[in-house]
Amino acid sequence: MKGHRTTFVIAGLLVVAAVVYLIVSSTGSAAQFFLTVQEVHDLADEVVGRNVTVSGAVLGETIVYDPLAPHVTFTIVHVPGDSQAVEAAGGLAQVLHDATLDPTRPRLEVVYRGVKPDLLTNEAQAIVRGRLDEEGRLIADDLLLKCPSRYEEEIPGQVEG
Amino acid sequence: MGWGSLLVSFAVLIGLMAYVGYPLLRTSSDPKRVVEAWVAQVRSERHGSVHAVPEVRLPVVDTAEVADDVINFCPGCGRRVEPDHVYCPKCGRRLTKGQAP
Amino acid sequence: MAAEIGRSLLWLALPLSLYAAFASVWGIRARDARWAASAQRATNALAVLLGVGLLLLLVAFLSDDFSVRYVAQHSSTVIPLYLKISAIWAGQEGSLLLWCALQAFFAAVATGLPNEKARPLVPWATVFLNLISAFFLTVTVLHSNPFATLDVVLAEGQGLNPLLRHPGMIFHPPALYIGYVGLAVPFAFALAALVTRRIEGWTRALHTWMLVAWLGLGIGLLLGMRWAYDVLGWGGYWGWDPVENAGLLPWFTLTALLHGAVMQEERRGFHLWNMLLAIFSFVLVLFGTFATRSGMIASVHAYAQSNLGGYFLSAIGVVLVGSFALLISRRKALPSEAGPASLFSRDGMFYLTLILFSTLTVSVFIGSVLPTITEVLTSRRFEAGPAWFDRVTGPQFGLLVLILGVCPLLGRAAATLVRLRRRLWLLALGAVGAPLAAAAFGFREPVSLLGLGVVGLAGVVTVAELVEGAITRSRRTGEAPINALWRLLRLQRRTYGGYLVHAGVVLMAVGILGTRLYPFEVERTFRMLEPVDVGRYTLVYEGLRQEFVDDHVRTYATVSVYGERGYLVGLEPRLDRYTSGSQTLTTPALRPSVREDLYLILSGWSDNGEIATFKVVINALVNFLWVGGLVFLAGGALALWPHVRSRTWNLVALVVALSLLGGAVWAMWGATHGMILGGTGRPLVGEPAPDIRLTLLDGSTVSLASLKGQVVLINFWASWCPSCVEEMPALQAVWEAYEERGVTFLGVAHRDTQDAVEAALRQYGTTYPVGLDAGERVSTLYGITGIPETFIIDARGDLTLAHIGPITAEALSTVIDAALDMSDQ
Repeated sequence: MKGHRTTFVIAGLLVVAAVVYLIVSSTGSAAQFFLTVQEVHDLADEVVGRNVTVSGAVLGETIVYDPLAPHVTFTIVHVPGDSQAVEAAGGLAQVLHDATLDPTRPRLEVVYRGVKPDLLTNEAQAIVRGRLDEEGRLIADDLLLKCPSRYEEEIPGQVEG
Repeated sequence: MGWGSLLVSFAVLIGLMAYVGYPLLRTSSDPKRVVEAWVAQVRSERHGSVHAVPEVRLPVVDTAEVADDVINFCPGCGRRVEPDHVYCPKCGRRLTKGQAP
Repeated sequence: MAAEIGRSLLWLALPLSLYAAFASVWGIRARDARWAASAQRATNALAVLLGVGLLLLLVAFLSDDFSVRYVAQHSSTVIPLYLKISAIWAGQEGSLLLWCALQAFFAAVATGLPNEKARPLVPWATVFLNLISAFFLTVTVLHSNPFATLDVVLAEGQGLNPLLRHPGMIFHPPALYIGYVGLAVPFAFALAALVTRRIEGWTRALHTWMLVAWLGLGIGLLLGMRWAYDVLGWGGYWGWDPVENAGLLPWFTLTALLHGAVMQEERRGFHLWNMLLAIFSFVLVLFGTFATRSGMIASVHAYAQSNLGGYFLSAIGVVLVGSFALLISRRKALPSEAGPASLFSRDGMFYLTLILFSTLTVSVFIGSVLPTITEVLTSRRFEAGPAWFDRVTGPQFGLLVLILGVCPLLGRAAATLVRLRRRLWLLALGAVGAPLAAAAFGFREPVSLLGLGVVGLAGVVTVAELVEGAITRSRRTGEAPINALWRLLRLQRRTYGGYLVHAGVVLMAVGILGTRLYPFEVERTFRMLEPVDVGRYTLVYEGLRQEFVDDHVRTYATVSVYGERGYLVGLEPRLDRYTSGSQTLTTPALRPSVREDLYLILSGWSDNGEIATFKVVINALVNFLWVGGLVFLAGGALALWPHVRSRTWNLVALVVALSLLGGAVWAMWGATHGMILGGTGRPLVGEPAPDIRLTLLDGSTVSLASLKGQVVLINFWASWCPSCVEEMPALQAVWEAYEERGVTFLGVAHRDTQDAVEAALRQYGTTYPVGLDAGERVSTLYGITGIPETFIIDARGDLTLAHIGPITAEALSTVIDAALDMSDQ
């Protein structure tokens, strides 16, 4: 019965449309910018207050930790986000190393309320999720760190797939 | 690679080839097949049509695309059947045209 | 030598798999059964070959053969046996070998022991399955060989990543792999059905395999969730991480396929849909393994950057192009879809279900690759965090649960308002009752109440289906309803297994609603012995202790948990620090209850241990998730249960299944998870002190209640304890000063004898009342963990001082003065 068939198609399309709406609207607001430090500086005001995910190399000498709060601040240095650029520059470990030694690259201060993770050391790769405040500091909700050396092998990880 | 490993690997290779190749060496000594082949040959001579002497083969697995409208093999047991057969002489299955069992 | 042989075996396996595929094609083309038989033998031999290869890798691990690079990277001499075994799949090379072995094994079983309906599809399925084996073998042998050796043999291996040193690691990857690899079978047979144009019966023929893969994925996913919850110490169970999603995606399409298969077998169409689902399930499996191994997707889980990405991407391309080409060339063989008669019918609901699972798959997929997509489209990278996923998938899941509840109410025919009307009271009960009950217990968040309404509806309907089936049968056959239910479970396994699965889903939905909509997480610094209120609990940090084990240091923190009615339990979260590298592993402690889990993580501590920082997470209703998961899996197992006549077999299988279930229940709620049981906690300062009865040395008894109105000091000591006897002069001095002022001292001798006590009293001239603690009753009541300990109770009966260790006269005087001042007022 053609009439019923149409009902079906419409019902299906409605559901799909609803889902598409959900996806697009969530990407607009709830999704997070995935940025490098350079991009944060370039975009400046646009990203203040928005959820962002920034990756960079940790500068060991800037780590300040208050164990009683607990509360830690540190600075990260720009690292290229493009994996091809990283490979071209000699691999991630090399790139992280160079970043910490280069005084000209853009930097970003990160504030994290929580216990200092053990992996927070010089040259570690940090992936920070949080919001930028007006003073240009990144207030972190989430801090993901990867080992600076022996990069080829283990990232403490699961074994799926 | 040490000699021991080399030897073992070689042995495995030979074993594999033997195991996998064995079915290919089979020629039919099954008397039923021989009789069928003979019957088919006689039939073809009697009908005068030019049938190539059927090679003796093992039962065929019914696998490929379902034949269009002419079945040459019984879908149940794989015995070769004539186009005008209604029942398979070997297993008795009813043969219909162009059907998927 | 084991490694060398292993390597040869792998090198032999690759051409063997190709031979098997080509031999099968030849057999089909030439209609020659000899080639088909040879292909079957090759498939079987492949399974044996790879099985032996796996065994050789196991031997290498067990014999600590560190000349093999993979063993050196993932094992060491000090790790326990069970971990050496599970180290096989700890890394890329070994897990790929496991994949290949499973693939070959499944191919051999599926093609060698097909059920009758699948038999015509076997030759083509052999081709496809062996091609798949060949692909994985190529990747393994050429780029990821587990038997690669090191030039320099190390004396000791690098050890297993500490996160993987957990019994959950034994089962999680193999279960997942059974799911992933198992999906190749329905895929290959579906393609075979397309080639041979036998579209009608393929789902029925592959029903068991689909269930096996589904159950494998389900177990793997649930195990992963529970393992993350127990071990990883972040308080959650699902992070919407791309690699986690990689396991979820094929599970969605497979669940959709299972439902579509029901429709196809009831002759209601969905043929094209099922074909597409079978194809995409396998494509998503390939995508999943691509996501994990290519390093292209940023994830906590992924193996480091490796070069395998290109292989898997090409494989995905080939499979998609090939499958679609085949589909298009066979489009005439697919019956035209009649389409369901009406939306509000069973068919209509199934249709919506399939649509929703498809949109869910697409949504989660988009979320996982969002950075790549947005970068291409807008040159800015967006990342989808948990909030994005919750927002996008939440309503879809909700709608699915609603359909789950509504579908049984609809008949197979069209419009069933009549049936609905009769069941209206049932719907109302569930849809309104559940939220009301939840609100009564304090769960008031609006979205959660809506969700609970849907869940209640679905739950009530599912239970009703089970009950009604039993009652109908019992009326017909005269059996008691319970027997009827048991018979139905045994006879209609697929249907009733399905009901159980749905019931499990409903329970899991409750758990998900609770944890997602009532999040509670705080990180606080605790000072030793100072109570802190968190949620509905009061927590007291008692202290630290450390243990040196093998290659790591374990630090345990003890925390006492008090609820509204007093002491609940002691918790011992711990933090392990590994001496090689700076890796740490936090193991949380948790206290489960129906309403919530109290989940405690040790974050850090000061050097002297006086201060410690804890993260406290309260997971509302989370145990519904775990119980639901078990019911869910039990349902799947029931659906899978083969009809075997042998009573012995059935009995053994039942015992095995029940033991596994029992094991899972024990692991979740029986094992202690860092709880210290049997403790009694201590009275808290500011709370009323527990009443005691003490028999003094002179035979009289005194109780705390009788001393109300006085300030009371209770001192726990023993004559054999040096610090106790050291403080006795101080105690005596203070006693003499305050004796007449409405103060009473009570000495409680802990684990002591009358003679020794009397001797000590004489030696130090103690004149205040002292008694032996018979049966340690008083000590237990006051929760002492050692001696000396001193408690001071004010005139109202509240505890005002709880002091561990020797105390000075000054400190005593200060507190007693303060207590007296207060009682004077």
